[in-house]
Amino acid sequence: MNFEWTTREQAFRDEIRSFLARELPPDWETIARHGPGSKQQTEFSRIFCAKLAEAGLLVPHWPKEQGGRGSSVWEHFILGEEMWAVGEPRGPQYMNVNWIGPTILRFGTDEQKARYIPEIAAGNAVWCQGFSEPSAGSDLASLRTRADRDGDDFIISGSKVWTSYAGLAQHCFLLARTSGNRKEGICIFLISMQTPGINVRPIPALVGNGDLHEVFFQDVRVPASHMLGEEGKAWSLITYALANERIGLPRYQLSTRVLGEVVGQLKANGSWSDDVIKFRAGQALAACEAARMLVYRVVDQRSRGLPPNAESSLARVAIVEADHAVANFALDFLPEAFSSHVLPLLKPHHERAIAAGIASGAAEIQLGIVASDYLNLPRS
Amino acid sequence: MFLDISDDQDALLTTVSAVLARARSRLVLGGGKASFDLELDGDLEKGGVLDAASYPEFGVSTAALVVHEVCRSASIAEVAASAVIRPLICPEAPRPLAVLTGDPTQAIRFLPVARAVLVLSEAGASWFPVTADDVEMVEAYFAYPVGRLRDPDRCLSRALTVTDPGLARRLAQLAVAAEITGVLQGGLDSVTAHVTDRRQFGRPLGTFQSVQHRLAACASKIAAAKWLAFKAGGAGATHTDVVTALASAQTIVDAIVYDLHQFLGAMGLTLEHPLYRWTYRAKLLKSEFGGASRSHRELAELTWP
Repeated sequence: MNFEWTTREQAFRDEIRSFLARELPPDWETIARHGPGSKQQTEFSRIFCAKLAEAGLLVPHWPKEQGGRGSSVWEHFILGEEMWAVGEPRGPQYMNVNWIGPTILRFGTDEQKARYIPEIAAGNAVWCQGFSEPSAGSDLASLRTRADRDGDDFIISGSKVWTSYAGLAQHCFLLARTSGNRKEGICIFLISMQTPGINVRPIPALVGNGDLHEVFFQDVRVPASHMLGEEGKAWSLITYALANERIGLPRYQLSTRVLGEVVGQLKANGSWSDDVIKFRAGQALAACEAARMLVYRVVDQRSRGLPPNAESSLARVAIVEADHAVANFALDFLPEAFSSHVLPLLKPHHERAIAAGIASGAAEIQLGIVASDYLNLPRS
Repeated sequence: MFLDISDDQDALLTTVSAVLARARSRLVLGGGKASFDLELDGDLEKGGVLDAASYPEFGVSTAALVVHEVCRSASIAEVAASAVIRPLICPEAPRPLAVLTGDPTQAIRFLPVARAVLVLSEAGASWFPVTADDVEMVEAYFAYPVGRLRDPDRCLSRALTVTDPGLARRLAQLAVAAEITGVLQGGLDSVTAHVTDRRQFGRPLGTFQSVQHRLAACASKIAAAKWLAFKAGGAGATHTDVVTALASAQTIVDAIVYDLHQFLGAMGLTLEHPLYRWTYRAKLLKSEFGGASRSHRELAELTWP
């Protein structure tokens, strides 16, 4: 066991912090109040991510020939921690760099890599993921969106829902079915959101402006060359992509940051001498550290090339608990802050906490995975 | 970072496993609540596993790992203080080692089998040897052997001061954290096996989602607390790390103990099943150092002074 950062890792963290101190504008937190899918945040991310790319900090974990610097798994993760500690200014582009780009790099054709990788590496691309459907949420394998062969093209028909960033995205990482059922017959298509037949309807939501959408596909013609990987064999690619996604979100960093800011306000208003408040603050902090440890354990396994396992689900459960511990602490002892601009990150944190147990596989799905694959309980 | 068991630690755990297997083979249930496996205690000492904290290649994290593993066993020995505190604070003290953290007249766990007592107080830290003549037995409510000093002043008068009372306290807090994660893991292991084998309504209990989700939540909490305890023993660990580990371990006890007993049902109410050996240790440990509330407040004060 070794719980210490290497000199190189610490230097990398310092480099990121220096960049953020230099490049994050004073009004960033006010922009963040609008939510990660908002027009303001998306536009900001295009400018910010381009600067990150110029500094070699957008995709440092990618191969050098693809715009990266060959950074280690831990360095990649440190980047995510530092971004979340300031409210995740990469906005929707975190998806591109954490799992869409890596999945295209691993499974894409040369043509697909040439088409998509440079703009992701330059910080110019916004993607959405066309996964969830009205009848396929946590049960992703029940998706129904069709992709029917027509010569050299596929005709896509169906709908997606709760799709983040769809209103402003250029591209969609779309799941559709060519045959079969459940995990068989699913394909991934990389498509332009400007393709005729795609209609996007924003859904008013608790989780910030512009975050949730319905996306309708009506006889959308897509060249077969836009398919990622083999026809009908996408489930293993999805598993790869989600394994990258599921530990790509060190949200406990934002929770810890917000917790510290709330404590600062409680000190300022004279409440900090209350033992109950101190108890709850300590409890929320301990929850954040619990999540951190379980996430670190997963990152360590990945850094050693071990296959993904149920420990990522253990970590996901702990992350959700940490988010809620901090959000509830703030609500209980500083409710007035939600009606003011004193703590700009409080609102986006609270909104993300609501979504934390639902996005990327509901907490109950994670508990089910822990039960079957970690505790080895019998399946029903 | 390397968050896994090293080859050296694995070799040490092999020794521990062999010792625990022997203890398991002679485990007898159905007697009184308190128990102490003198042979297990002796085997752990003879095997050298209790000295790991003092070896550079191991350190306190490894001691916490040993505590966790031994406490997963239904057989009870004094391991936490001896493995985590004694090698660095009072290696000359005989063991088993009991720890007194408050009023000297209070009941002290392991005192009836202890040969020394470590005292942690506001004034500092010290230890004194004890014999059977110094101890009166206390009726056990928890699974540990518990006793009281007949004449605390006389015992304290022969106490020897330790040089770093702050470190002694931190290690004692860490020892409790590791002990809690071990006993909770032992209970979870046992209940997981039970709900896998036990059939009701025509199928194993463990196939019910209500059971699965709650045990999975227990597993997540125990895993996090365990790794926080190991981290708190690592090089460069701070007092905040230690208190985080203690607070995290203490705060999960109530919910997990409740679930473990719920899912073991009436079997868990008997002394013929070992569940109480884990849950009744956890119930006592959660109140050490003022309990979870005090530990969380200490964490808050350390983080935001």
